[in-house]
Amino acid sequence: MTAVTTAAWTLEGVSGGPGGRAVLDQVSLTVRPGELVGVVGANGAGKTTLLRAGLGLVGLTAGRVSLGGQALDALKEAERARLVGYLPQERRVGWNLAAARIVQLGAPDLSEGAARALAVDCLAKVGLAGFEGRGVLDLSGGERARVLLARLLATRAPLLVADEPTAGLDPDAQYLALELLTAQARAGAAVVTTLHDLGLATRVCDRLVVLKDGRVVADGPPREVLDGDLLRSAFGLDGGFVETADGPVLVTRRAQAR
Amino acid sequence: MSRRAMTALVLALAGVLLAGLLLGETALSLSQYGQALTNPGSPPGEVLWTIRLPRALMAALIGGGLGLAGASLQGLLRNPLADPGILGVSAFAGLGAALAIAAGLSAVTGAVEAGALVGALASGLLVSGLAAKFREPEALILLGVSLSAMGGALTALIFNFSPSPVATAEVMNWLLGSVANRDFGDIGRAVVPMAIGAALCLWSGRGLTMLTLGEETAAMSGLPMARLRTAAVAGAALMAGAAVAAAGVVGFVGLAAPHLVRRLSGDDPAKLLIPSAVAGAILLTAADLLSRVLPSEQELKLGVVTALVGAPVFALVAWRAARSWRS
Repeated sequence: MTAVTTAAWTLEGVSGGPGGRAVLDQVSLTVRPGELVGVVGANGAGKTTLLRAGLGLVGLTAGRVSLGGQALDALKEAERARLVGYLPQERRVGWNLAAARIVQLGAPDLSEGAARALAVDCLAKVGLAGFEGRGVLDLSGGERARVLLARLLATRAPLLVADEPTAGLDPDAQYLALELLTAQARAGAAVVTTLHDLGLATRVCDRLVVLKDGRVVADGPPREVLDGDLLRSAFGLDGGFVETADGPVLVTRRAQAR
Repeated sequence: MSRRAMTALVLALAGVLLAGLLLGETALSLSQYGQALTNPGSPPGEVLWTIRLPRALMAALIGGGLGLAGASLQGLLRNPLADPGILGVSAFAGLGAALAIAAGLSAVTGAVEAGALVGALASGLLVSGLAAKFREPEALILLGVSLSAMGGALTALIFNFSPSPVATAEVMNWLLGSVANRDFGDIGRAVVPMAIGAALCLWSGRGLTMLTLGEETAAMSGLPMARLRTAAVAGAALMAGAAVAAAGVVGFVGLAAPHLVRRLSGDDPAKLLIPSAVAGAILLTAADLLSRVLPSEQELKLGVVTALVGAPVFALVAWRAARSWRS
């Protein structure tokens, strides 16, 4: 079998949810190498379930998932790990390991020395140079989130899946996190992330996939997707894009009649 | 853990083992120690080599197994309060032994030990199955607590219906834990399940470290997590069962040992395993020594000593954990 070097991620007609619940309803989605795709939707729309289902962490009642052209369930655990880097929404860390050690866990394929050097590099990228020896439970919530983002980068996987990577980060760190994910996409990775900040999502994502009640209700470039009707039906918001010197900016407010 | 810290631990173990050999109820003079060394068949030699040495080695073996089992379960369950007792293994091992005694098999060599091991293995298999089914550590802890309560209740039922107060006293005495009067044959019988259990726990180490980041990250890490999780539970159950079979119920060593070396191991569950085994060996050898040298009419039972020392340790750990939850 030829080794997969790029990893397009395809979900076709996927239905299912945790414990057999019907959270997702016939979801289809493709993320290609080189693009950053944002998955957006209201709370409970099924964003996290979509990512988990696409990674084999949730049982499907219908549909199929493929990675790099191969069926996901046909991949061995080690091969899947080589292809996918995953940052779950859950940020709880069990023990007070040093930040560098946490990051190194993203690169189990490397020797101790090489993994350590990579960890130092990744921590510097997320703005935590000098934090290598700090216990991760001694850090603030935002700093811990950055360490976990650094671990995601250390995987060097061709598909990066990040569930709310900006949660708990200050505004500057939110931009930094998304710049880092964009850089991974530009370097050839397929990157998919869930986001709640629609303004940020429209600025950085190549494509937005909008979920509502477990269904994909829109999929395309942000400016084409987020029109007034969709903002109201999927998010309960009024608004639209406003042209500024800095480019188009999405402006929203709560819909008057809800 | 740094090489220096590990060396210090091993030296400390050597120290308590030596103390276990040299100290005891029977005071020996220098010339008697010399006689024991030159003539192992002499009365002082008998005291040192056939009474004290196997007893100290058995304490170290049991303590090492319990320490390793505790570290393994704490890593698996991501819970600093986990130990072999929490999964019900000790309770079911005690139940197996109590059944053997109540059935009048205590005169049959190895029957009580076999009963304990069967009880431990039965609960170990059950818990391993549950560990494969439920990924959430909280679910496993709660199921373990209920198993433990069930094992304790069934043992109490045996006391309740036991027609013979002698058998009841015998069960009680056995459950209090002891490594007195053990010989090298007993050690040989305990070594095999201990070694298999230790190998399983050590193999699961890299999975335990990955579990630090949660079930989902571990599941996506490429490691065979289902097998590693089962190995950790089965290994811990096997060691705890072998410990109960060999020495009765000895609590708190599995809980306390990992905490003594956690910081030295960088809080890494995999790197904590071997130091916890050494720390457990030190703790139990020292506890047994204490039970022998404390002046009392009746020798203190090992399980009583470890509980008296371990309960405050448990309270301290819980106190610290509660403080961290509050902050």
